[in-house]
Amino acid sequence: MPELHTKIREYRAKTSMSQSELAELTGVRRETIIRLEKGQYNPSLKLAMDIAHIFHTTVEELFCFTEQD
Amino acid sequence: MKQNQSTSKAKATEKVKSLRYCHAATAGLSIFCILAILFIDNWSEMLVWLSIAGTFFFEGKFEKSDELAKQNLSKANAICMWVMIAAISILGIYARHRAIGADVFPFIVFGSLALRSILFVIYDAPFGAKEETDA
Repeated sequence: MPELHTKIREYRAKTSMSQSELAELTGVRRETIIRLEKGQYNPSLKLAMDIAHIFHTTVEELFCFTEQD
Repeated sequence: MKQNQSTSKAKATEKVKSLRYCHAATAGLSIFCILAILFIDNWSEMLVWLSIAGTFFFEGKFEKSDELAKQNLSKANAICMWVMIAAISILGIYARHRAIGADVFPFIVFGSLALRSILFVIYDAPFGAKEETDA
């Protein structure tokens, strides 16, 4: 079963953005961003696109599935 | 090649109150009402229904547009609904053989409210992750 991985933390580090700032920009709570980064929550398409837009990248770059052996 | 895009404007969001505190207060208030039914005589029906109305009023004032909160609340609502259906069904079967006091119904109402809020607080519990500014 493929597992969802996110690169949100890497992009936040590149832009020196905190979880709170990202949460405020996307209109969600910090807890949502935390769970997203831990891969414990699948975001809606709108949220995924909003985050990609903030980091000037694509949804496919931010979220990817990796096959597990 | 990255597109040149204008910097995204920060969305004007009002300050988000904690839904967890709201539901924790709801659970506490509901349990208090159940205990009051058990131990206080001449229970005031007005106070019972005011408590229920107050719960929904205060919950409505908190920000609920967060999708994770909606998902967690939806899960809590689903479980609570089935528990309520089971409780009322059992009560209905019991009522065929014995008389049931009117105090049972506030029990079910407040118990459902408490269960819903407790479940939400459990589902929405933070993982203790501290604010991280660096990867």
